[in-house]
Amino acid sequence: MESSFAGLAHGFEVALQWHNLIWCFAGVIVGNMVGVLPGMGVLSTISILLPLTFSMPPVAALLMLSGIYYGAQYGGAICSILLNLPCHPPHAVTCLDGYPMTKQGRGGVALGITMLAAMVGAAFGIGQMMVLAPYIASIAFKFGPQEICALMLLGLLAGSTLAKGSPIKGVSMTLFGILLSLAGTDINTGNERFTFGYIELSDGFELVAISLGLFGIAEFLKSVNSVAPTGARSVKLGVRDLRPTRADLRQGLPPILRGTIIGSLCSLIPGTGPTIASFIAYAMEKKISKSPERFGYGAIEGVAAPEASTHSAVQGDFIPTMSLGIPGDAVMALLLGALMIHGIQPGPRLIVEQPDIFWGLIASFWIGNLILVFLNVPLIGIWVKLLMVPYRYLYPTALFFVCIGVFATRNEMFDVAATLGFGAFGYLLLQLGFEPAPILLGFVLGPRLEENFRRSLLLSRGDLATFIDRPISAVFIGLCVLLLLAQAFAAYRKMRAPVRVPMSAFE
Amino acid sequence: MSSSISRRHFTAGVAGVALAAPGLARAADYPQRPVRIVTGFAPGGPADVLARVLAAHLGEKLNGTFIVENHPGAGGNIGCNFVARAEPDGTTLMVHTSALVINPSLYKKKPYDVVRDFTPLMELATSPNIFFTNPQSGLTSMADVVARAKADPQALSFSSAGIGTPPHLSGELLKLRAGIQMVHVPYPGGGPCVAAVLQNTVPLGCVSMQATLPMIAAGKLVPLAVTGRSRSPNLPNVPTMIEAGFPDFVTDTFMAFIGPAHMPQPVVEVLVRTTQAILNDAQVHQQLFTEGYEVLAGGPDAMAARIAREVPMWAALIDKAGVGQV
Repeated sequence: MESSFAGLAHGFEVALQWHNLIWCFAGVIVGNMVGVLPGMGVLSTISILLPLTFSMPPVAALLMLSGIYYGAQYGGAICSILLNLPCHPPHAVTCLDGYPMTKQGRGGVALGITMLAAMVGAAFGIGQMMVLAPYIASIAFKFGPQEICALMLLGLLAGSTLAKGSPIKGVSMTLFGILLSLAGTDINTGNERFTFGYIELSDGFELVAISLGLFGIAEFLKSVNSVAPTGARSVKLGVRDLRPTRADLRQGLPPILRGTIIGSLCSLIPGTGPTIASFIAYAMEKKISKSPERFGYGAIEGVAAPEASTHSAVQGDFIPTMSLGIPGDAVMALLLGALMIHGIQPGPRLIVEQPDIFWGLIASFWIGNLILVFLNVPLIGIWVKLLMVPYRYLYPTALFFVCIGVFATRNEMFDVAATLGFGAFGYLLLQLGFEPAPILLGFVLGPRLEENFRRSLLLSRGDLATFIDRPISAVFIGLCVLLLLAQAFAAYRKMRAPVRVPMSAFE
Repeated sequence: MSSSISRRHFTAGVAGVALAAPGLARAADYPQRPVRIVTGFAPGGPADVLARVLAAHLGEKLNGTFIVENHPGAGGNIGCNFVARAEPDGTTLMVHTSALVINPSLYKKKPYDVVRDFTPLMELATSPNIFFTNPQSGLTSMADVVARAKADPQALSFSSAGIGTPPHLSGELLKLRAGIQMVHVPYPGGGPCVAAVLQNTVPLGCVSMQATLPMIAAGKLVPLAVTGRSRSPNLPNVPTMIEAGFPDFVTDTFMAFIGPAHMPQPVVEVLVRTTQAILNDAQVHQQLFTEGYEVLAGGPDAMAARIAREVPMWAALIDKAGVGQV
């Protein structure tokens, strides 16, 4: 602990050096902008800017590139909440309650609570990195394929009812999402499945294409029909409250704390990034809520929990990368590559051998997050004004950026077509009363479930008992069983004495 | 799909143009237009990072614009198809991995013809694969691995960076050469594969060497053997597979610099000369060494020779090991 603070003090000395501070600032600003633009990925931004860092000192390079990553998370929620456009996959789930809040004129409140969630989540994530980084290996390594598989199963079971409306429709959408995720190359055999001869599908659908299509485009198709042809200024989107009230804060704080914990746990489990974290946080928040029927109609908890979880997972993501030299995802692999170009090998000895890098990075996290909050809170008013832009300018512009962003992820026109296809499909679903959110849940968790299930069985030579032989996995499986029993019990009671569904469910 | 037919026509047509007007492409003018360096993988991987290093230096040295364009998918085949169909005027180039010579044998539907569809430019760099284990596994040498697998054919699994990657095929080669059984557990990439051995989920792993270096330095992973022809300067104490008793057991993951077929000779010469100078620069040399690569800087002939050597080598291995074509 004490050495952590000594290290942090040294880190601030490094991060507050003039040139490092400037690069950190540049990074978070670029990140923030990238986050706001639909589909424009952090990954492509960092890789485009990578050559710029070849001639920079390694500390400054790392500070800037990381700033883009966590800076983007601040921008990411904005379009989700205000336009139902999940510009950045971890924030897709924020649409569920964020956009209804905007429709109620509470977009500013949602953004305010997002900022608070970001602050708390990030602070916890960074603190965890300071204290836990040296011991991280022992925690992360308790999670083998059996544990991850059991956790994903739990996530799917808990989350399949995460959307509003009929549970059966929710479950069927989750299954449909899993089905979609099967398209592409099977990791265990290398065979292509459900690609129908399209080489573009050999690595499956792009998550960005699905989320932008199902949420953004579908919403556009839905509202374009309901807008009066003349004099339509905003889509009945008023701006009533800009700031969260005391009651909002009281309601939002516990979910923020819970989301933060989930996010930081997810970041420690290999390969479980911010997107999965935010979905699990939302599902869990709805599960434990006393009034789950409010979710999907602008519940502030539904914004607070996933946002906090995303931010703490993003900061936690750096832990395995920096302390083990093992990147958790492609963004981290790129940061690792950037360090190696400067002759630095992250790994267990990084903290001792390169204190400038490790502690400088952590100090810059504090500084960068502070800059982002101070930058974004005054901007909330301006972002919300975005909604005053006439519909006929706002949405075509957004669609334009969606197309560019989706194309840029892989330089494939196929993905743009897929986005439009998913948009039309999402519109159909909305008309039929199916909520698209569980599709994303299935799409994100499904492949991890399958991959780890088959891996576990490969390692156990086909013995299914492997899932209950290991304690952590057994606990998760036990929770799954409890959840199913509780569901069955609730259904049984409902059958005997039908409960009145609250009016809000029919809005 | 009809694409293979149209590509053949297209390539033939372009070949005609290139042959008819070789004088148009003058070395001094290159590059007149922005040049894209394609990679067949997503940003962040070794091919992508190397392409970006190269693009930055080429742009500076040739006074032009070199941008990296990622066309990921189908194990690199999407990028390869894109380049094979591009105009061979030097504005589309590609940095690719060993997948270039493996994929034609791995895929049922032949994705491209390595010799006919591409101009070999440079053999950039190479990294050996490494067999490694967790200290708790009790394995200390390749002889231990073979002995344990022989004692109990169900005992060992090995992790790799994915189906059809050089590390996976190296593991299959080991099974064939030593006459042992091991279960292959594929992971999506080198990082997760190393993590699986670190947490002792899988006792044995094989990846491109770079991914293991920090953990070996920290004593958390035990290197057993590298698959280069000679020992790696990064790990001078680790024996090669040849030394471990498997003559001619040489596999590596290389980085190739290629372009579409029939590129004009002057452009090839400029690119080769400049790239060789870049790779022999001390700083670039050091960068690649840190990433676990040994600089080869071989010209078009070396690259062509490697293609001629490795395509049949991997084809025979994939066939013999019974790796199902995908």
